[in-house]
Amino acid sequence: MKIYSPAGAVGRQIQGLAAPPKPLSESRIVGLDNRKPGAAVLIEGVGKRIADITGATWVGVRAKRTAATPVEDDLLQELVNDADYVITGTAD
Amino acid sequence: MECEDDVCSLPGASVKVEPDLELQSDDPEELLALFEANGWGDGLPLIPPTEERVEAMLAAGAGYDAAPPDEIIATLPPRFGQATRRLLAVNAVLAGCPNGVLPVITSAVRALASQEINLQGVNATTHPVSPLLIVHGKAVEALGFNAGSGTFGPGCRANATVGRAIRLIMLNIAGATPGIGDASTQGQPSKYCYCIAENSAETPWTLFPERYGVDADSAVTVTCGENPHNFHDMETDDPEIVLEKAATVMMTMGSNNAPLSFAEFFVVLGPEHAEIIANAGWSVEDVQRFLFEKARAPVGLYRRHFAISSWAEAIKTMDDDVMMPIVDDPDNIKVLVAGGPGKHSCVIPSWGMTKSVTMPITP
Repeated sequence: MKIYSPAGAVGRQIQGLAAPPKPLSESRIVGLDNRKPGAAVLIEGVGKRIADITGATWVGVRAKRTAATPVEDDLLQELVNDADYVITGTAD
Repeated sequence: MECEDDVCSLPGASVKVEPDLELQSDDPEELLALFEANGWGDGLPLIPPTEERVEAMLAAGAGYDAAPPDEIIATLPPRFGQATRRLLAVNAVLAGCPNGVLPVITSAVRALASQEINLQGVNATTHPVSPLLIVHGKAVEALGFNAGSGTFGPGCRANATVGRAIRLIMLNIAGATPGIGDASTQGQPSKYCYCIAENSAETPWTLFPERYGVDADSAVTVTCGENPHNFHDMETDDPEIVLEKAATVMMTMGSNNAPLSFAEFFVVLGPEHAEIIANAGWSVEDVQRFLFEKARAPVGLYRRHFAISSWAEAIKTMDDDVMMPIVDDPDNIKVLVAGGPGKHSCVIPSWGMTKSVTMPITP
């Protein structure tokens, strides 16, 4: 007996190639706090350590409104303006 | 079977799946073992989705003769599985759905894919949230949904199997597999099946879809929340006494509504409670305003419980002794009537970062 799989195909986002990134030594790093407990401390520690090692500029931590919704448009624009790299976390 | 062409991810594009799995027998154990081995299904026995059964499910939906079976209705996170009508029919067959209910399921999936629902979060969170499907209008009687006694419970094929089909779609297509795509710490029983119908015959007010601008004979509402929290009052004819009990159920520091003032509640009134309230001359808006006034706690109590919150800006600056409502707008309290005889009703707290969606039932 032939039956269907219940899962079907997986969709993919249509994506173009991004411009090549700058070297880290010429880059600015911003931390994005995903608003889970402890995330800001961890992200700031990781970001500062990377900046120390590579010579990048550590800009600071920005925070989303809440963990479970996407980054707000105004914050996203702020990240685009202020960061070459963003360090963040997902889920817990 | 995986999509080879980026274009096929676009809504409205088509992707065809084939019956390419082979069963050696019609032994239900073999099908269950196959699903278990692949991480599919809800752990309960299933109906084999043969081509004949799936075609019959597709053919029986009103208007499906003109609806392309392989059109992508939505791409469902976190797996980003492509939900075509045919694939929804496959899962409807697996769930044991009677023929004819596919437009209800298709419309529910459209609603679930709405931005307001935030399905990525709903499916992936540690909270136990499950989508509740509410069926409204002529479809309730025409398709055999139970809007009366035990509407949340077992015994009605339409409620049971359509609710189960929605969960199978979340598991199989959306990839909300416990511990993988679904991080829910404990889960909840409504993750098996969560489907009711509005009791239009015993609703003393305008029906729910019309109140939210949906002018259609039949409609679905999807809201994503916890299991129902019961409240009862068997003694009074005073609407305030009935609704004060609802407010106490809403007013808990343990729900996601407490740290999120923009979150919704559904208050599902049994017909006898609704009658008491309406007989006193109260409208739905009166119910919403009363609950908004009563479901409050001191700001200091909220602050003691939550360092991380998403309250309205005005609330953040209030003094500790100000009585803060658990929602920032009376319309975040949605009211409808469902169930049968008896003086019980329920409150359904929301997951929080999600808003309910009501849509007409269409193919």
